[in-house]
Amino acid sequence: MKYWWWKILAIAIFSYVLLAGMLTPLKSGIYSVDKTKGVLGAPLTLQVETYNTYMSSALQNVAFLKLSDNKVIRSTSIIEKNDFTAQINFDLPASLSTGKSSERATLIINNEVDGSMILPNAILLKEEGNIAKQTSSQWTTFDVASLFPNKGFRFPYRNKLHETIRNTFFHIAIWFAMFILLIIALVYSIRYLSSKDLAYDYRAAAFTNVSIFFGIIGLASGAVWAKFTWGAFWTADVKLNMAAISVLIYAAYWMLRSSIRDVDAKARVAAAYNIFAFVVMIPLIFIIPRLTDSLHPGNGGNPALGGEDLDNTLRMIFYPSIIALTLIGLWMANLTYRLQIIHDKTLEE
Amino acid sequence: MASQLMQVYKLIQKEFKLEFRKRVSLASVLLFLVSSTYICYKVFININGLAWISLFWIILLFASINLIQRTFNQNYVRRKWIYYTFYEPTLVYVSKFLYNLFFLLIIATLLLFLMNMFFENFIRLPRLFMSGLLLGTIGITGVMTFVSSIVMHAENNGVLMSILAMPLTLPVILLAVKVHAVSFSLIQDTAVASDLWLLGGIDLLIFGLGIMLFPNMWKA
Repeated sequence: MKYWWWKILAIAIFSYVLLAGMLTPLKSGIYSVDKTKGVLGAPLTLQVETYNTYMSSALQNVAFLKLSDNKVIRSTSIIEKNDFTAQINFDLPASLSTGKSSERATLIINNEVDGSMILPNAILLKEEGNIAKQTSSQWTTFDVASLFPNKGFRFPYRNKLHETIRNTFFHIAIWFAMFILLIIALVYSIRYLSSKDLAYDYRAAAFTNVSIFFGIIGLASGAVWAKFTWGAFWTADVKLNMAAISVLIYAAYWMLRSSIRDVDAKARVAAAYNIFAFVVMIPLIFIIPRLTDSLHPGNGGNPALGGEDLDNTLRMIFYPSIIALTLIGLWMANLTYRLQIIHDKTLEE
Repeated sequence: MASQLMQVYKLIQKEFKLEFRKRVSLASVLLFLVSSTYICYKVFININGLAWISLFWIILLFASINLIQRTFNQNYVRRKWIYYTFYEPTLVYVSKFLYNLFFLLIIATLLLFLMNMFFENFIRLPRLFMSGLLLGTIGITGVMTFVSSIVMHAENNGVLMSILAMPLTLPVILLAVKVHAVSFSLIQDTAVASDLWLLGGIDLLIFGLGIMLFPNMWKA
């Protein structure tokens, strides 16, 4: 118990990540709207599909179209067909409150059961001169406090991501865990060079091998996610390709080890290469992707791991996931190391 | 310091003597350069700026592998007791690095000349182009010299050299290609100076790591 409590901790945290990460529902959100344009001064009817909602059991459904200057137009009526589809009627005013001739408005649906759902830049509102103005409605100032709040512990609903937002706990966390393991391997390599104790070399090799494995899983989980959100398993995205090259650099470490026979020479050379590779990898992963445009968050001006992509509900699973995967990596490296020791002993006998 | 500089000078002098005693290896690199450029010319005839840059760096990369592979070759292994006895490892590494850099710069200049002869001259900002070329060459030399000192200990080191060196040179080559694209006016970038600084920093890092790590393994 004194030595293996952290293994139980790893299993417990990872079970929590799996259960909470997979079973927590998403917030309600707007899945699709049938129109993208609305003519000012005329009534507008929208067919809306929503996700994770209970529209027909809600009594106080209301919808807004919001402009950039915080002015809204309120829906005249909402007809719920079932929990997930509704018809929303607006009477659009004759002109925009911002004074422009056209602007994209944000659609907001709110009720007391589901809270509020937002679809940014949903409808393009524009003037068309030859249409007779049929409505007399006016823009009003938006009062956020009048909305019903979102209830319960739920993950954010993001258009394009949908349910795959849960991959945050696995895809991103495994890269973090891989990096922590690589740092540990680096420390063992440095300790080997200063002490020439072969045990450190074996440990460095074990950690690097587990990191390569984690890297491959990270690439694979990223490929599946990319297929869903970006439309292809592999893209020209700079961070993706830099990560693939880092995995190649460490795969070469594995090749290098297997092509040197003398144990001491292997240990020295592998330790030197490991330090070199780690330092070269830092510009590849942390500097070059920031200089060019990327689809990944955090590159080319996108916000990194913040805003609505990582809110507090996701953080409650994401940070434990990093800890759990790191502990599992430690465990795997430990097993690899012990296997190597046994292998050496049987060779000696 | 002065005596160390003298040692480095002596070492480089010896390298040149050994090199010119057996001219065939240097000649093979030059022949590789001419023949690959000529093949590219026969295949492409006319190319655009981006293809020019990629061909330039690919040919330079392979030429540098051919050139620097021989840094710590069988000759070195045979004479290594002399090196161990008389010289500090750091100085051996520095002299090898400078010697390789000298030849790689000559090769890069020659390649530049050949590319401009066979293809059109795209260079709009010559000073930026030359500084990108210089810093890129220094970075490639640093990585290749280090990798060559690593594969000295391994079997079938020809294959291993390319496997290890190619991904490691990538940060240098990506930045150098970007600088060259700016110097060809293919892309507009007002912050190209920061790219040059970054490239210089990576070069320094690679060179420093080589000096730091080489003494740990040269006697392995």
